[in-house]
Amino acid sequence: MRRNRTDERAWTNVGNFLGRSTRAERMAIGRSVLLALIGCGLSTIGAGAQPLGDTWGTAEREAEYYRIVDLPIPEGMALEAGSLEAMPDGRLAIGTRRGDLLLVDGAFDEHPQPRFRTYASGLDELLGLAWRDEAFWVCQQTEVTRIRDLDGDGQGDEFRTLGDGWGFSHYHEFAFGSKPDAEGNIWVALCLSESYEAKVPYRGWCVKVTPDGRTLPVCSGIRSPCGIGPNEHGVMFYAESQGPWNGSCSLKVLQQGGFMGHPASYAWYDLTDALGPKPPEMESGSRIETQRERVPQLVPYAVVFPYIRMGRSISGFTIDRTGGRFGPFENQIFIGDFSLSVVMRATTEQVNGVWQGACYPFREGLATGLLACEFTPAGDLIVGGTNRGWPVRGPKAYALQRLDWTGKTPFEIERITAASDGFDIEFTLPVDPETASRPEAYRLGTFTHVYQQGYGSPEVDRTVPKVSRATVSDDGRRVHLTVDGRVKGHVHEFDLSPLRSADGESLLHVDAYYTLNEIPRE
Amino acid sequence: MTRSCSTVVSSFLLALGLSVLPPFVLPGAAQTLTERLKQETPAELAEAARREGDAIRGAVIFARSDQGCAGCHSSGGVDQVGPDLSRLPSDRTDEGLIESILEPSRILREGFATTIVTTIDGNSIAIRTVAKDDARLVGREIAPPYRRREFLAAEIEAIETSSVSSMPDSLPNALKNRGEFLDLVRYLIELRDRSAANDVAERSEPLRREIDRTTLGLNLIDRLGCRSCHTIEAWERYAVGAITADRAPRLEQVAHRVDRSWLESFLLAPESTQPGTAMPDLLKGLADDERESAVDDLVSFLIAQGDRPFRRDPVDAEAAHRGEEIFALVGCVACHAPRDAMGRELPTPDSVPLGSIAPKYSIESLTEFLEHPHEVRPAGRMPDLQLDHFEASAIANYLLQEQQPADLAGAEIDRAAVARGEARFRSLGCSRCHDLIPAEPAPPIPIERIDRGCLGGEGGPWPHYTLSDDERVLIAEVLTSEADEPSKSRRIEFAMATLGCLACHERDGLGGVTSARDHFFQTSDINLGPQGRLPPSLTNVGDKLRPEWLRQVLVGGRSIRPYMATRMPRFGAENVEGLLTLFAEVDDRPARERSTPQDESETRRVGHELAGNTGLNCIACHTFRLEPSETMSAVDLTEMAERLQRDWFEEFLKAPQRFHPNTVMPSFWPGGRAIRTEILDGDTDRQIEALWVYLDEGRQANPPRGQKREPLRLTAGDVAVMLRRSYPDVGKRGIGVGLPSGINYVWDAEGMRLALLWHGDFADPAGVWLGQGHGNVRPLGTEVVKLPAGPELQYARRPWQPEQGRPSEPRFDGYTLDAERRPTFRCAVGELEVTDSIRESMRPDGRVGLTRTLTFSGTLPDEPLTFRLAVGTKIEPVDGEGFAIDDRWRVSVVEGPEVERTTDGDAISLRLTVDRAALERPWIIDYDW
Repeated sequence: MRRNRTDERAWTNVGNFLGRSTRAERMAIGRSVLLALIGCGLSTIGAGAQPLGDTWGTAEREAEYYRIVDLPIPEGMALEAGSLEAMPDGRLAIGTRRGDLLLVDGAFDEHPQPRFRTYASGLDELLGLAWRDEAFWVCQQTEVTRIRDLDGDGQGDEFRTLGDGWGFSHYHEFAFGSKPDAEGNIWVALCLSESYEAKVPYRGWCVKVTPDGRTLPVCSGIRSPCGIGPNEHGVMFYAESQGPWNGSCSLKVLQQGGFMGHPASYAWYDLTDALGPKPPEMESGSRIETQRERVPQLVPYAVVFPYIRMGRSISGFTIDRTGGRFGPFENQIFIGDFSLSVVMRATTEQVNGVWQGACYPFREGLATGLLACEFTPAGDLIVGGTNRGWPVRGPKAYALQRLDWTGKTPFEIERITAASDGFDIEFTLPVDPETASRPEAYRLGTFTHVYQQGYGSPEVDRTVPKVSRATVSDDGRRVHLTVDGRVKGHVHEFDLSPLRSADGESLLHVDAYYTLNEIPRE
Repeated sequence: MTRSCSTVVSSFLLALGLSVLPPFVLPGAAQTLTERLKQETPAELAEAARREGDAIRGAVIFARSDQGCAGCHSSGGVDQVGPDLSRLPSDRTDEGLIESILEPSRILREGFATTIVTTIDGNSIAIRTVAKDDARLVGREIAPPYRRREFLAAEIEAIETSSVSSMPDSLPNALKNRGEFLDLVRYLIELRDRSAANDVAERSEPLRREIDRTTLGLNLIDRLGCRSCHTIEAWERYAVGAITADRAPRLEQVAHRVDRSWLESFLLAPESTQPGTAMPDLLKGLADDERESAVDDLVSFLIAQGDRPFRRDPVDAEAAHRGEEIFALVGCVACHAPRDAMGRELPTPDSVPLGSIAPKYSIESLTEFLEHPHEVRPAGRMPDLQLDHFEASAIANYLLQEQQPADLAGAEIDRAAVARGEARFRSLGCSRCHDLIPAEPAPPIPIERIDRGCLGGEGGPWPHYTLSDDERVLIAEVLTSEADEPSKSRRIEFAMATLGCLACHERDGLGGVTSARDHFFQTSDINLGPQGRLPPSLTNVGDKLRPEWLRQVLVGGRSIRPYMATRMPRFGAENVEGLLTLFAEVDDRPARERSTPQDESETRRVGHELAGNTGLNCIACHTFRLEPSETMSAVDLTEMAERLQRDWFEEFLKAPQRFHPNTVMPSFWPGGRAIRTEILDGDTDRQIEALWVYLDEGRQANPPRGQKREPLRLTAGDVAVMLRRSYPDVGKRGIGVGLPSGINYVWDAEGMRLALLWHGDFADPAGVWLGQGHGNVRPLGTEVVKLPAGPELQYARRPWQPEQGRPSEPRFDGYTLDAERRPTFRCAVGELEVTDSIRESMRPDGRVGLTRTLTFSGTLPDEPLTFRLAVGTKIEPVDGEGFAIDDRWRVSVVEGPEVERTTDGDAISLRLTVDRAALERPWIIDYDW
């Protein structure tokens, strides 16, 4: 158990009196809302209310298990972290939206007093960052770049463009780059020109840039990505935002030759045959489940995050490979949300050859809109971002924070997996077998979204499956549910509020959401 | 006598260095604003104020600290230095108002003279006397922070009174101009016109009440842990559902937390080791040698519980120095006694004694305790002040400055002693208070008589408490009094007294910051007056704040007053659960029924207008989204709707002074009537509704007009500055470079061309760094030279067509930076690699231009390649050195091929052919403009 960590400080305005950074908070953010209303993408609702919904209401209890530690930012520094990398030498590297690449000493200390140094500046929206082979590999709006420090003065001096083979004509054409895969390729998810259009080449596609400078198409149909990287099984995924053809945010697998659901980028099939034939026109107002039967390229959305309940703009994600130093969620996906300033978890599995999985609430009350997250060598989770441009619940314009596990294990749904006759649910602590073996303790519902050109979708086609049996394992950590009435292609929502742990504790988060694209065969 | 007194007062004012005093004016210097205003008649000024003055602007001036109006004349304020201007007699003329500002001493209202009190210790304090009797004199200091002072007759050496107003007669000099004076007068006229309608009853500060004896007795019972052994009905009635019982410290890690020898002496003699401790002496009934072996056994047992040793580290003097400031500021001294320069506790009433804690703690263990007090004391009596590690460590270093090296000898664990210690721990009843070892719940011990045992004073087989006679009586009164059922309000008071809320907060006249501690409550924004430094009143707090917010304040320590030095601590969720419920039950009123506005977005638009500088100018004083206003940092507008109850908000806006006597917040609806009459027909309720609907958007609300903005500027320092972004007439792949010499250019990584040139500062990135970033970087130079679009390098036979979009060649390969961080760009056409260095260079006439060096390497393409040097409608040779293009810029090939000139209609082009020679010798091209 670790002790003596800087205490929870989820709120913003404590402790500034004694000379902590306040100037940074005061840097001009004045025009942001006005511009947000002019802009497109996330903020198409217009001048009316920008509902960010209710909080989960769990922050108070979450703090017992995961403490939010502030990494103070120097006064006057507008740190808009867009990408993070934990360096092998114990430093943290940060790529910012303003185009700086910063190296931070002391970010992993128990009581962090970080010291920042600029390694490179003047770049364009650093939304991908990795350190490999003594070089930084960054993704900026314009290109994938390898940066090296040839004269050893601690600042990058060689900027080699590895791939810029895509059009760039609109500020909202964000480019999110992965860390290099096993072959050293950087996968780049290219945002559409706007929500509805692809005006210049390869907008709406994913490409991969090879270490020797080739740019190869991967798949089409992307709308507005906000994070990209491998899932816990090493398969490349990206985070898609709610909007046209996307009823809600989701994690999707970047399948070679696949179509991610937004047809605006069909035009680029004329430029290359790398992805095979162009898919047929999409029918607005249908369902993904129906369309995927007609359109083989359409890859069903692997993990759907119900709107507002599970984020509004899911963003950067990473995998817990801490060996248990971050608590009981080893090998799971941790993903932030820009609008709601929360961190969530996700798990994925391949069923009948199709990726699918579940998402779970994890921690709310972060100080700004989250764009990136990264585990430290000590097994803590650093998150960062900005609240500029779009509605964000977190109050600070810039914040870098760390989630430290307190060593106490929360009573949580560890993961949900699909079974041929129902679901398996694992828990972080043994359940009370009495409550857990009662089928009525599991409240299930299903729904899906309209697959349509309009922005987002209501939750439709609701059904209520019936749990006929709940079998608790001998160790109390696993419950097998036999469920009648599951619906293929639907999100299955779980409310397990009646459950108790063996010690009588209630679940820290009672909700989970499983996207059932496929039902396992017997 | 009067005359001499006035001299006394004036010099006294000077000595105070009042910020409101005018700058010293030299004879013959230009006239001050006051002098100029006095040249007009009051009638002329009054007429002008009615015609031109703006009451809203006037209200903001009124609140502005450099004027100091609100410091003395707050609307509805209590016992202020000056008269309450919202209660002016209605026959007070406009001209009279003007005269009072320009010549304040001409008509001095009764009761507003200045009194100089000289105390027997030689201090002189200028006050306005608000109450006086034989025993004491009560007054308000006439200088900021306008403290209320009480003098006992015995303290007073002399009292002098002046007939001269304490208001300086040159106040208008702090105004910018005559217009501001007229605005201010116009606001005062509005206030006077409404004073008749002002239904706010004349009030004085709520009578300060003392905590009643029952509460004091119950507090004592709570603190001493009497309930661990006895059932005390009165306590149950007050506390159950209001507050958790106090609990003794957790002892799991006591071996790590406290020094062993301290622990021994504490167990031997608790009260003398730590005066004021709640720990009774349990060993008093034993013989001396028996007591010592009991202590040895108990200490052995306690030491064996933990797994972390006690470790003393040397004191860090620098940290201790920081700790002194933090200790005084963040709220420690709200409950503990303040300390003198030597770190000794100053005798201060109502203090929780710390005693000499240096022998007790190590810096490490005290730091941990201060960071997480509830881990050791879960009942929240020591609240969590949200100290970060370094603050806690600084305070620990400060408090432990006197510490001696520990005697760490004899730390061997004697297993037999441990076992004996555990047995003693059980038999002495330690487990009744300390949760350390599993123990059967002990049955309550009936209280048979109160003159013996714990309360009796003599030794015996019971816990021995060192109590004063008064404390014994307090407890006895609770135990013997008739059991009454306390009201919920009484239970709130009990809970607040027990948790220490009353040290900082007043509620219904009970508690609040005492004069002995007042000066420890500081602010970083003195413009906010007392509200900026004193924690708010909790009278009707359940009516004011939304329950969710109140919970976040008490449990999470959430606060919206970053300017207040004293912090709102956290108390632990379970400890305040009952208090939160009681606040809601006692204070909360059913919400008034309202209809939703017909056109919500129009209502919101009007609210936005009202908040801005063309409306009521809330933004002049209030913070917006963490960004303080220019005038002061009053609470954040974007958190109002999340915090406040709608009905309270409405009542507050109508009469702020009803809720905060002495607030600097002006009333914009004095007497319930709107000052801004042209918005929503001056309908008070609809204006307030519009503001609410607007503020209800919280942090997503549109910033009001008039919010200050800090401009963004990027400039080169010792080395070059670069920004890759969207530039006007360049596109999204621009690479802007500012050189230290004041030469700037944009290179276009899409067309591989030099695109823009300018002199002066580099650029304003606001268009791409703020909001969603949909704009351009704006060059800061006034005259920006735009060079032709499209790639400079092209195949001669298939020139680039502008409608083609992005050209497929040349290909951008990146750049390298030199020691001054100036880039050399790299691009390629086929197998031909090109580098492009652009550097500043001095011309013979001393001007600075750019020199571009292009190198070519690799293999030339099969088809002819040309380089576009310039395109224009007017291109003329200049003195045999290069060409002037459209009278805007000049280009000159210093090294390189012959310039080829072609004409196509009006357009003249200059081109260079890339041939074999280019592979051998770099090209050098000069640009001037």
